[in-house]
Amino acid sequence: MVANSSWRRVLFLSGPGLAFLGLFLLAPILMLFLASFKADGTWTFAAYLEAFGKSYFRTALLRTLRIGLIVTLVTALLGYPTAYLISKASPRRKAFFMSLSLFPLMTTAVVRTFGWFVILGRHGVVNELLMAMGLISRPIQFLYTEGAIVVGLTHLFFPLMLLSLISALENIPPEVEEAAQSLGASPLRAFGRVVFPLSADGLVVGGTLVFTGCITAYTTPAILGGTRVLTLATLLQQRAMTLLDWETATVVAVVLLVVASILNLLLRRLRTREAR
Amino acid sequence: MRRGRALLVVAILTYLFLLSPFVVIFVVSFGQTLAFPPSGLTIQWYEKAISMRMFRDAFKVSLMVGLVATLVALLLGVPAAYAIVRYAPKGRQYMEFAFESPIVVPALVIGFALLRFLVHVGDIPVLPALLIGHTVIVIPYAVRVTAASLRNFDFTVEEAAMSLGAPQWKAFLRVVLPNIRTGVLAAFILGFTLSFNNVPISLFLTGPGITTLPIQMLSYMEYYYNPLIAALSVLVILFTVLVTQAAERTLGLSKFM
Amino acid sequence: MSFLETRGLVVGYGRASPVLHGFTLSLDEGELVSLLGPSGCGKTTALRAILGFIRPREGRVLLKGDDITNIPPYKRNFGVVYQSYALFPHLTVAENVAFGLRMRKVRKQEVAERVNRWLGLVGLEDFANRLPAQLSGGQRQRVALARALAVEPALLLLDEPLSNLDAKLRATMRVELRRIQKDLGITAIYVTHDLVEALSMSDRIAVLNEGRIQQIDTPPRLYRNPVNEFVAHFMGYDNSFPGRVARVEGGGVEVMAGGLRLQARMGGEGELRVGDEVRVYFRPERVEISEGGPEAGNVIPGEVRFQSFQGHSLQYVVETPLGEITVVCSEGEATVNARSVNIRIDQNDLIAFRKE
Repeated sequence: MVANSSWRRVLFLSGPGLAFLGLFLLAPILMLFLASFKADGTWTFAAYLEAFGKSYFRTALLRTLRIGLIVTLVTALLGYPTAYLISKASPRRKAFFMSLSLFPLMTTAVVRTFGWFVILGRHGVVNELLMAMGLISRPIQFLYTEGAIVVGLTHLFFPLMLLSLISALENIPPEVEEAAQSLGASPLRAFGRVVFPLSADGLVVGGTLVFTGCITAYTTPAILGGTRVLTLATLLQQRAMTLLDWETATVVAVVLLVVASILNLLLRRLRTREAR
Repeated sequence: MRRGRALLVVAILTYLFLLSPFVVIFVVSFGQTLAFPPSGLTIQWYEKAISMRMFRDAFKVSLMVGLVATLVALLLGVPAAYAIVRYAPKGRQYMEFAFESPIVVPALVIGFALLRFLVHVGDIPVLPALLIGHTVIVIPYAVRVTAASLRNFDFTVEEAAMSLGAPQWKAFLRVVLPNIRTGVLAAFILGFTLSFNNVPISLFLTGPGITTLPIQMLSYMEYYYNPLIAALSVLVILFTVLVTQAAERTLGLSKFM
Repeated sequence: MSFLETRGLVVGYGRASPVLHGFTLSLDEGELVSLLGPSGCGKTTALRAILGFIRPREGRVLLKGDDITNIPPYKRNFGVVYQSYALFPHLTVAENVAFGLRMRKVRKQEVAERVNRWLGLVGLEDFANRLPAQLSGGQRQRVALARALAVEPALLLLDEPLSNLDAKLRATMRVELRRIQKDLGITAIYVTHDLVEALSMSDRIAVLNEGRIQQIDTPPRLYRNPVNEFVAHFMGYDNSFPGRVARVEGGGVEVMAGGLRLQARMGGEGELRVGDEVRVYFRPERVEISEGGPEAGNVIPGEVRFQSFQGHSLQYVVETPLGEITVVCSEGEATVNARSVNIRIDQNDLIAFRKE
């Protein structure tokens, strides 16, 4: 039971923070949302109809979703074996690999993406290697393609997937897997019948985190996609800052907001289910 | 056993993939041009990166914004975390959700909304708007990390202090805060790193003379194709490692104090 | 030929020194053997080596004379019940029990029948469609047992299966487990750190310490004739004192201790000689306490320091020339009220071991 006087304390302690977020997050976002339905003083869907009517917008939207799906899939495929090995490693090795996975998260996306910019460039590592091996005679255009963005985002968000998977796998007691084997399941079947189903929630959590991150990421598509291959995020920046087309920019922002919010609500539901 | 080896190969390749950009950046930063492997070795890019005014100014802005935004976020977030954990008020899940909301909204959208309604409509100068934007994105972590360490705190200890004659605010400062200081410090490091690395907020809230380091690096990359950014990247990585290591050192030391 | 045999198993992790040194054990068909020892003695490691989850550095595991050391766990057909039960949390009770049968590609119809039979045997027919999280500890324990037995394993291994249950349920399950094991005539290895559990359930007990088997014997013999200090201590010989052998006479010795001459019997394998340093062990409940004057036999004078009522018994702590001695009397026996008492111990209840 919370007494009346503690209510006042709670309000006094958390009020400033809530007010700050109300003023500088809720209000601007709400205004943005409302502004997207307003033109010349009347309520209308005009801005949306116009934006969805433009092919560059539809292209960017589809591309963003496509890239998000591919990256989610790739991180899951790469992440599973790695997470499985790490979850089985000795505590010392586990700590080492965890810090190795966390290290990239501590550096800015600009630096991490720049590395791929160098690797994938006209005279980058990949092209030089392929030419030296005689597989190609002229450098391949990797930069400013969807493929480059996929590589960069995979690198950017892989740790999120890995950490979700590791925490899911670590929650499975090793005896459970052993019990399956003692009952006649080969290691592969024990994995398929017991370990995988028990870690599926971690996969969904990691996947949601990665997908949401991908569709809202700006830096990586900006460097590796440039102005030629636009995603929703880079389109938003271009419309707002270069072309000063705030109407379209606002529509793009609201679309990003809505998609991210829906995914986040799903994630929240999943996590409360897990907690039970 | 063969299956185990196959798994190991995938894991090794994965880590190669994870670490390769860092290796390439490091090697290339000593090259004449952005070619890999480099044709000749030089440290000229480091000299240039350090001496260029625009990067030094941007670094100072990043540092200042990171420190101020994180401090403000902690001042707002620590009392809120205390209220949530200590009093467990009805509807605390809504409070928690409110403080988590800056994670739900894409940072790019926050940045754009602040530009449109704070800077343009509200006529607030760019620098305060930048500080506000960074504070908004650090708040969730300030609350979350502090709340986590408060959940491990035994509040009967605070009651003991109060029964010994300390008013609640004094009991908080003398008894609660010292016991959760590792959590608060961890929140500070995390918040500072997030702010220092941030692009999507700063992207919209920088102006002439006021720009953060990541944004300055981005715009430099649009116009120049040379290893200077690589050298700068190495310096930035060193800085982040230094900050986190220092944190770990103090966090580790604090256990013995 | 014994049913299951381990020959000189040496098990170690990494470069560290082994946790199991030359583990040799053999079981007859239908026998239940307990591995008893304190935590970290290597008993669970031995179990895992027999199951095939750890490959021994040296030694062999034989089943009916066939070497199965290199056979993977899933082909051994051994059933195991873990302390944590290790039920599959995403599968229902029935699906848990059916798991092993499905792996063996048993026909659907037969799987259902056998699952029903086993659930009936452990009294859980009505819980077939529940998830493990919806069961009590005792029910989970039964599911784990049914799951292990449903595949009709050649050997049943139990790793502290009762230690997560409350005391009352533990006592019931001890009886039930033993009954099921005997009814099925299944050979079983039972890992425990609980003396009472091991004594009441086993055909034989192997006492382990620091990766070595100290003694293997039937419960009564182990109880009466521990071969060394460790086993004596573990078997509840809670009192001990140091002394020196003054005289040897057949299987008995006279020990000088605290200025007293006491008659004891020899423990262990090596013969004791006059002048040997020994440590003498005895059980708290094999001591008589009285206010009366000296009688014949081993009589030690002392003063009661502390006494406590324990329901079915009374416990005294008595200060004697041999140090503090704990005495336990049943409630019905004559109680003493005086401070000065004499305590008497039969020669057969004092066991002298050469100091290690």
